[in-house]
Amino acid sequence: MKNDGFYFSLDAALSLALITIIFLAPTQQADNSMKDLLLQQKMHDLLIVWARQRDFSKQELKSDFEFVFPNKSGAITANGQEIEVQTQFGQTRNKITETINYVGDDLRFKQIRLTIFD
Amino acid sequence: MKTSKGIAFAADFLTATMLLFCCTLVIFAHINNSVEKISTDYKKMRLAENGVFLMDSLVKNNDENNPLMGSAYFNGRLKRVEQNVVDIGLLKKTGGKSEQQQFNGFFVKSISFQPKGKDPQIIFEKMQHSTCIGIERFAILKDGFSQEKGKITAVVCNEK
Repeated sequence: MKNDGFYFSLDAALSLALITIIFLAPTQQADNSMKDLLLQQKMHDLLIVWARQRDFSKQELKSDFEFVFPNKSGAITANGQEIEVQTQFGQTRNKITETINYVGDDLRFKQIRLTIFD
Repeated sequence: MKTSKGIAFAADFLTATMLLFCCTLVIFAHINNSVEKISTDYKKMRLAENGVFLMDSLVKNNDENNPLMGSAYFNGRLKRVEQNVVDIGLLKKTGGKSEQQQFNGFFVKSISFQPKGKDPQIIFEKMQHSTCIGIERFAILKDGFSQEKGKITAVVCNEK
């Protein structure tokens, strides 16, 4: 007596179950919330306002950052000084940096750099 | 014709068929669930996209007829629109015409601004309920001769 039929269909059933499990495996979800774009736009806003107002006091830069990003840590480089802001939130792996160039009062190019640890 | 294999084959066939039905059912349920999720995510993404672009237009353009599309300050002396400098007088006009708060597929539920270190001020707010998101931008708020830094927030919602 040959029982090949039984084993073959058992094999097929197991394959089907395996295919189903693979099919149901969770896929990585793409971030559709445009969170990064909005974050970058807010960073640009800060840089544009800073470049326009030219008030590079440590306190002013820090308070602006805290007002716009109350739950994020970051770093600001402006007028030759580097300021770390809200370090209590820690530095995460995901880091976004934006810069703006402007002509200073001495007619030389200057740069403001803003980094956010998201 | 009766053979010794009959019962074994019938049980085997039954098990395989049941498993096939179960797997097919699970796969179809998963597809249905995924399609619904993709549809919801797509609507949310479109809403976020519309909100982000609307707010970008608001802080960078100047439109006297429709301030929601542009409330940036127009500097008459320099003959140019100053991006990220919002004319509060113009922004306050956004509360006037409700048809201008309605767009294709979404509407603006509220507009507010908050000068740094002060309480937020609401320009208009509708009581409609739907799926909404808030978009925030930072700018210089220019009100007459005074100017201060602050945030502008718009809440945009999907039409039902």
